[in-house]
Amino acid sequence: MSLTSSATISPPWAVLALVAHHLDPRTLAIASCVCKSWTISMSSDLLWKPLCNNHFPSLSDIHFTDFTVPYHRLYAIGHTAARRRLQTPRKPLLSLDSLIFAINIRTRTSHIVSLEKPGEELQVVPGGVFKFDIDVNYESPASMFDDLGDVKITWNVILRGWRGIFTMMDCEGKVSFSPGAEGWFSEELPSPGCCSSEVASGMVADVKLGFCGRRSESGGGRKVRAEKVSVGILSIVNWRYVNMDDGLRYLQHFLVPSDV
Amino acid sequence: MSSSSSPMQSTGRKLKLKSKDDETFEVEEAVAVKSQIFKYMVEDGVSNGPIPLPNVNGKTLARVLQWCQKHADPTITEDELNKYDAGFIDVDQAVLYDLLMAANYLNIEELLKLACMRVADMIKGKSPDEIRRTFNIKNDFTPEEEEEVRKENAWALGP
Repeated sequence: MSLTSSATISPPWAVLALVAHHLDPRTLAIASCVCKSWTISMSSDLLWKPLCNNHFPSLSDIHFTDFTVPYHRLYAIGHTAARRRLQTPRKPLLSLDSLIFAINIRTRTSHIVSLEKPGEELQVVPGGVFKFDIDVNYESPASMFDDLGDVKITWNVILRGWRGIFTMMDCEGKVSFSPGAEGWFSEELPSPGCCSSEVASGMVADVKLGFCGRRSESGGGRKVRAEKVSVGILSIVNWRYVNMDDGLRYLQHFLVPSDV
Repeated sequence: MSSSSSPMQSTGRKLKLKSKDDETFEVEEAVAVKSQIFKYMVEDGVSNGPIPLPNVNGKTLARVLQWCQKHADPTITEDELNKYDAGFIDVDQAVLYDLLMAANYLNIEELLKLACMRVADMIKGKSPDEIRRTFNIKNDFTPEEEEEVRKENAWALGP
C-alpha cells in the first residue's frame, strides 16, 4: 500500500455509502466505532437487513414484532447467540492422576472387594470413555450356601492428598455368589450445584462385579472370588458411558474448590 | 443485446465528452460503452455533440477513459488486465475517491467495484483507532458515546 506519502483524507459520505456495501458484517461493526458520521453510514438498516436475513433467517420475522429494533442490533445478538450455542466446554481441570478410586464391596460379615486404586494405574478402556476395569484378587469365605447374598457397595473418589472426596455410590443390592456370575449396580448421581436439583444430572454411577471360582471337591460349598470390578459413569439419556472429559468435568464440580 | 465485451461492433464512431472543467475528450464508441450511461445513449441514438458531464473533472475523466480503453481491448489477457487494474488503482486517496465517484456516476460497474474494494481493503482488519489514522478522521465521540458504541459492537471488537 503506497498511500503513506500522500495526505490522508476522510472519504466523503457518498464514497463511504458505496464502500459499505462491500464490507463484511464484522468490518462494518468495527467501522461504526470510528466517528459519528461513520456510525450512521455503517449501521443503516438498508445495509444490515440483507446481512441479517442471510445469516440469521430465523430472526427475520422479529423485526415485524418490533419495528424499532435496528437490523444491526438484531445481527449482533444473533451472532452472539449462535456463538454461545457452539461453545465447547473447557478442558477439565482434573486429571485421572489426581484421583484415587476407593471401592468397597462387603457382605454383613466380610469384605468381598476392598481396594484403593490411584488414577494413573487405572486401565482406560479403548474409546476414551469414563469406565475402568479393575482386576481383583479376593478370596471369599468358602462356605456360602445362599445363591443370592446381600452386599453393600461404596465407591468413593478421593482427590489426591486427601484434599477432597466424593461418594459416587453408596448402596445395597443382591448378588449371586457363583462362578461366572455378574452383579450390576447403579445409583443416580446428583446434579452439580450450579443447576438446581430439579435438573437431574442424567447420569448414574455404574459398578459391575464379576466372580469366578470353583465348587469345592469335598462338596461342602463353593469357593468364589471377585475377579473383576468395573466402574464408570453411565448416561441414562443414551445408555452409554460418558466420555473421559465429561466424567472428569462432572467430578470437578465436587472436588475442585471455588467456582469452576 | 450486445454485451460490452463484443469487440467487432466497432463502427469507428466516436463520442465527444466534456468534463465539468470544460475539457473535451473523443472516445470510440466501443470504449465508451463500458459506461452504462453511454451505452444507453448510443443505443438510443442520442450522441450528437459533446455530452456534458458536470460531475466529473478532466483529470479523472481522462483516467476513467484510459481504464475503459484497456478493458475494451480484445487482445488483452485476463492476467494482464488484473495486473493493470492493480497498478491503476494504486493511487492517492483523493484520486481514488474521485475515481470511485466517477465510476458510480457513469455507471461503470467493474471500475466502481475495483475502487470500492480498494477502499474496503484500507478499512478491513483494522481497529477503529487504526482506521482513524488511515483516513485522518477525528474521534468526535464523547467518552460516554464511545463507550456506548463500543458496547453495541462488542461482538465484533472482541477476540
